Amino acid sequence: MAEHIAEYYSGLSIDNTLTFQVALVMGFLAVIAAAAGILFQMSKWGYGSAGYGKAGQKGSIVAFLKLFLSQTFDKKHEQSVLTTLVMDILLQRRILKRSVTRWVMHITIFWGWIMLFLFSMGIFVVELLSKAGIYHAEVHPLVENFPLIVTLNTVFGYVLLIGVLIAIARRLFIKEVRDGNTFYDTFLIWGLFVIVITGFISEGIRYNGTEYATTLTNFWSLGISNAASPPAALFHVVISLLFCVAMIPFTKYIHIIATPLSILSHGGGE
Amino acid sequence: MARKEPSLTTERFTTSQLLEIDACTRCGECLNWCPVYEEIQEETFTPEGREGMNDVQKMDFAPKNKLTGMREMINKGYGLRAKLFGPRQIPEDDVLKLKDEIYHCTTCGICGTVCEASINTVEVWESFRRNAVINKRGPYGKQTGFVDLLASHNVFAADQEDRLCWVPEDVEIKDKAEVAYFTGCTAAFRMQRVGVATTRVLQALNIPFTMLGPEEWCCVSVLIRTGQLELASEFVNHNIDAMVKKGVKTVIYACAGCHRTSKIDWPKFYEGGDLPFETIAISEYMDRLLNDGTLSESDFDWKNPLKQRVTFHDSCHTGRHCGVYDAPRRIYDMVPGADFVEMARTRELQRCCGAGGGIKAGVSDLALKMAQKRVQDAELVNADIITCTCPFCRRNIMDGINAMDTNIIFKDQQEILAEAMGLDLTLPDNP
Repeated sequence: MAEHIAEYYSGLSIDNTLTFQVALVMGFLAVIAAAAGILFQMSKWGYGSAGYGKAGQKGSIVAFLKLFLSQTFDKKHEQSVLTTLVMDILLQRRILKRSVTRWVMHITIFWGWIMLFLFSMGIFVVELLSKAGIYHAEVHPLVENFPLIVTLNTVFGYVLLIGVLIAIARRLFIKEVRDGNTFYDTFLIWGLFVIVITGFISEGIRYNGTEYATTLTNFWSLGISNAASPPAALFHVVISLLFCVAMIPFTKYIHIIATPLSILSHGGGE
Repeated sequence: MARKEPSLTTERFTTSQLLEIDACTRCGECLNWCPVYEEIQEETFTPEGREGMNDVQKMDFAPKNKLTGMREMINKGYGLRAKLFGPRQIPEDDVLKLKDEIYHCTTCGICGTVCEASINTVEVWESFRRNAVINKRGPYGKQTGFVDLLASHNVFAADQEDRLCWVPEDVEIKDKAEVAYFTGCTAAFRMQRVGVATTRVLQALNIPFTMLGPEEWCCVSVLIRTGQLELASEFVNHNIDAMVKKGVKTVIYACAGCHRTSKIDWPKFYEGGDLPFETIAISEYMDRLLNDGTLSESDFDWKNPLKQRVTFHDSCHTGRHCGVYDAPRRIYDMVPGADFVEMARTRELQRCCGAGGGIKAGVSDLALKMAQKRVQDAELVNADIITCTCPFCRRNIMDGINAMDTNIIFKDQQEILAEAMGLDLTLPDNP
């Protein structure tokens, strides 16, 4: 069993190289799709004019970026760009001012998503370095070389889960929220729910029957043998890349990009 | 085959606004505040042709659904699929439905104030409205009459020569002065008591001022709010040039709508760039003079203590749009005997009276219901007087009062000052 574990990276096996390669290809495709999509959206915004009553700019990305930067750094704003970035985007005080519940929901989803994304990318880079023979790990699975990240990954997984559960509960129990719910909202929330749950399950399966197993990971493993770890991890990775990266520009997830840009260009503030 | 044009074009939208339309997170906070949605949700008002709406359909009149509607339509014209295969055509009835929803808005701006994504909603609605007018979908209802009315240079089609007919004979209007009082059509032709009070107070405080008289044309708020901009540039430039000829450095307003339009909208149309004078609410001006020592409280020479409970309605245009909240309150605080009380919703979270955004003309039933809601706010704090700094709010709130069984009366800030100062507010005969 120990031999078998040693062959694992973050759930994707070296042994079954196809899964890692699929993840690798999907990862690059997702990033390319997301980048192209964001440029496409900027081009769409670039159809607007540079100011009141002026002519449209024919989908110019440069024109959009130029205007965005000039508005963001406009000296007429009452607070600095850094203050806006920290207070209004990273801490989301505009939401806090209106609703504590919604702030808890959104800040947990926001930070859960951001941190899991960063940790996942970090470990993925380490795995690539290991594959290339640049990084040599003593401990396997590879991710176990970074116990702090493993712990934080779990913590932020639950942070994200809390936010998603609040979002679902609001739609189940608050009539006005339920009435206003659209496919657009459902797609985002249930997409995140599936990702975070499959993340816990694939991790549970990876540790099942190993020295790293805990009561919690055993619970999430659903009793599935760790032999099923590569396909479980692959499923989680693929849907995460699809939902959380590739589809950002083409769905409600675009607000992850558009909302901070809107707040920055208006100079933030309460 | 040539590709078709998008059903909803991006014409008149700025790049920032197209970004903002995508920035809406659909959090739903605007639903808690939108005064139009509140009336529709409570079924105190039903938009024409929308009888029998369920709760979900009613939300189409809420800001977040308006933004979603715009986003979906713009994406059908400019989204990925449209780029690959050409714009997807939207049934004209659907575009007109969205147009009607967006014209059911007073442009009070509270949705933008509470918006978590910091969307400047008023500007987005106005760009959509302009787009609708250009494409012959707008404006809405009787709003179409504004352009014809303005052939007479005021929104009531009155004789411009009568613009100052109400000014008391003993009030001196300078031919030239550094300060000008921009009356506005409503005070000049309909709410003349506000004009009389304002000129009397200025004279009593020894503030020399000029007025444009027949050369004061409509500020074009009604055109800008409803997307009918054809005459805007001509009117704006005329007014500015007339002020310059009189040597004006500061224009003061006792009308929130004129103030907002001059301060925020006129620079967009003025051929000379930045306005060659400052534009300021009369309460701000008085507050400044009190602060810099030009005026002292004794200059008001109070004669009649008010002895009534007063509550102040922040007009959307002076408040949320121009950010003036404290100055008018400091002026009320000076009035002897006034028992000043705040309503539950004030300042940036104030409830709109329903007059603005072309609603008073276009959807008058809705304006009336909203005015009644605001009067109820005043009743809840046992006010005797509801007051404001806008003749247009005055008109709508008075309509609301008249439609209710209430003892509350309305008085403009300048009326309250003039009465407390013992000034004669009698209108000249046959004004």
